[in-house]
Amino acid sequence: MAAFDPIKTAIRSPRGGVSAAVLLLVMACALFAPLIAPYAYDIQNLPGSNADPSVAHWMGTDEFGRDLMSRIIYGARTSLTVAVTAISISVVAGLTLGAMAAYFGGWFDRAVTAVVDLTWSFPEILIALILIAIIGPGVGSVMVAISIAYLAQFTRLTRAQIMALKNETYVEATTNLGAGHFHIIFRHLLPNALTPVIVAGMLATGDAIILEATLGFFGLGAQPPTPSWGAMMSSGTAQIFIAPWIIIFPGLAIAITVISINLFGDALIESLDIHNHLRSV
Amino acid sequence: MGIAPATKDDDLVTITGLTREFSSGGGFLRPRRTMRAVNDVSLDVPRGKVTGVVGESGCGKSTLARLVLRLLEATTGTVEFDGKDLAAQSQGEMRKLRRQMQMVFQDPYSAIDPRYTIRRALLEPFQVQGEAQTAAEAKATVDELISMVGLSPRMMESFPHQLSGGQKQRVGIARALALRPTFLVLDEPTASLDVSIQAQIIDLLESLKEELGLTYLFISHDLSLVRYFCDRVVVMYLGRVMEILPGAEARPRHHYAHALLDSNFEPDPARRKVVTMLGGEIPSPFATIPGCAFAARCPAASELCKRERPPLADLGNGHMIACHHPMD
Repeated sequence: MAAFDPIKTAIRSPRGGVSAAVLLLVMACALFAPLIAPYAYDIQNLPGSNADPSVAHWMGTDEFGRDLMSRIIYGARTSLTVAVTAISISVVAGLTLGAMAAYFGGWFDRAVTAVVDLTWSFPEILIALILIAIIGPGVGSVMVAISIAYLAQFTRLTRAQIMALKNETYVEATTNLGAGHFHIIFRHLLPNALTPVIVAGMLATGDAIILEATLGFFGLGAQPPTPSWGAMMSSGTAQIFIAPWIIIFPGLAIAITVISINLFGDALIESLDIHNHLRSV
Repeated sequence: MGIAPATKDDDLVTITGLTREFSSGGGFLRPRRTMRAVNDVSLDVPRGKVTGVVGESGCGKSTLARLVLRLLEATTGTVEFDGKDLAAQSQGEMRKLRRQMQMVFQDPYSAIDPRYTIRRALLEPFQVQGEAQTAAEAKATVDELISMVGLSPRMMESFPHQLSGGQKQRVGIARALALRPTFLVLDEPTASLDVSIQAQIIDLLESLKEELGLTYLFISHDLSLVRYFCDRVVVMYLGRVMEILPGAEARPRHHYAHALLDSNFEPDPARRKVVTMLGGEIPSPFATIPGCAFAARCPAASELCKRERPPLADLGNGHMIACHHPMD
């Protein structure tokens, strides 16, 4: 019997394959930016500012004459690092909090639920803005802000999953074998609760890229000259009528990355369903 | 108050005055309501025998099963297993004791983690008990368990939902037997299976009992099964023990037990008799009943029955009955 490998199954589906290829390309850009980018991201060339896309500058240049394509390639670093790190922190924290709240219940559950419901009632962008207003702008602050902004989502999802799972007979059976809380949470509850949380995390990464871009657009994220897609679009607004490519290409980069993440997330949802997999065997 | 039966050496489990309350509701200006799922139950489970517990759904049979294994904590009362008070055991001692007392669950469909292969599920007891096994030992263990319950070794790498309900229940039994227990609680082990599969599972349980010298506490609502399978039958109603019949052939003398066992369908038309029909409704489990729980529906109920709870009295031969006016 074939081993259960959801990622492989996801990649084999058409939309999973295409989106995975695009995501790999974006990741390669982020990892190997200095090798791929034709120019350095911070070399200014004021006489050549706002230049049209050409053979020398495929995507044109920005208001300081910097090569736009190079900045977009470097910008992938900022966007991906911030979004992936923030969401990973958020998912791990949400799994821990949600599992503990659901499993142990009592005052801890009530406290977690109250805080989570409170933050859940605000849009993520508002929470992130408030947090950055408190801790100050910068890449690190944006990561912290995004991870806290999404924490409620993962905590709620995990809690709901564990609440349903903890009444399953196999949990009682395992207790009766003499298992402790640790074994039950880590060997039974979390593995069964993980699928939807991972998929939600995957989809939230797309949103987090947009949130990072939005914060960058407001000038709260990566500080110049470090390129970030959101900040690039922000500076492009002033040139929108003379050099629209400055705002169009970073916007396209964001759109393509987020769409690919969502498509891959969809493919993953399908392949992660163990019942789907087994029916085909 | 029921009368606690004296502890005898041949009793593996002794239950004394066991009560479990659940509360529900409660909130702003609303009182919490309390129900006694198991109400002052005293019972002993003799070694090497099958003790059956019957009753309608909601009479507290499953709660009793969980209390006996300390999967639920009792509100009051004690459960002694092999002379040890379970409530007094530390976590570590309880873990060791669990090797000897296992359970087969009603719903085989959710009794195995859907992400576990059968092999992994059968090795989990050893993992939980901190018993390291080499690959060869593990293989021998799984092979033995799987053949013990009559499954094919081919199924070892299967996932639970690739198996039928009966096969899953066999896996459930194999897992319960993995640690070589002496005591098995069977919580309606055949209730969610087809009739033909039920018979196979009961046959398997019967032969395993002989082979391994097991003691069973068999929870069921299937009366004919209980009469066929059990050495003693405990009849429960609304969390209380109404009657304990010493053998499958013993004639019930409690009005409820009589009506319950009488409702059993007799396949032979010549032996069919007029069935006693019960009037009235089962009281709400939240209601506090000062007297006999069955008084509202009992044909022989008197004022005394409504006022005073009848104690569980011995009629001789281990035939116990909680009734002010037993049948002749």
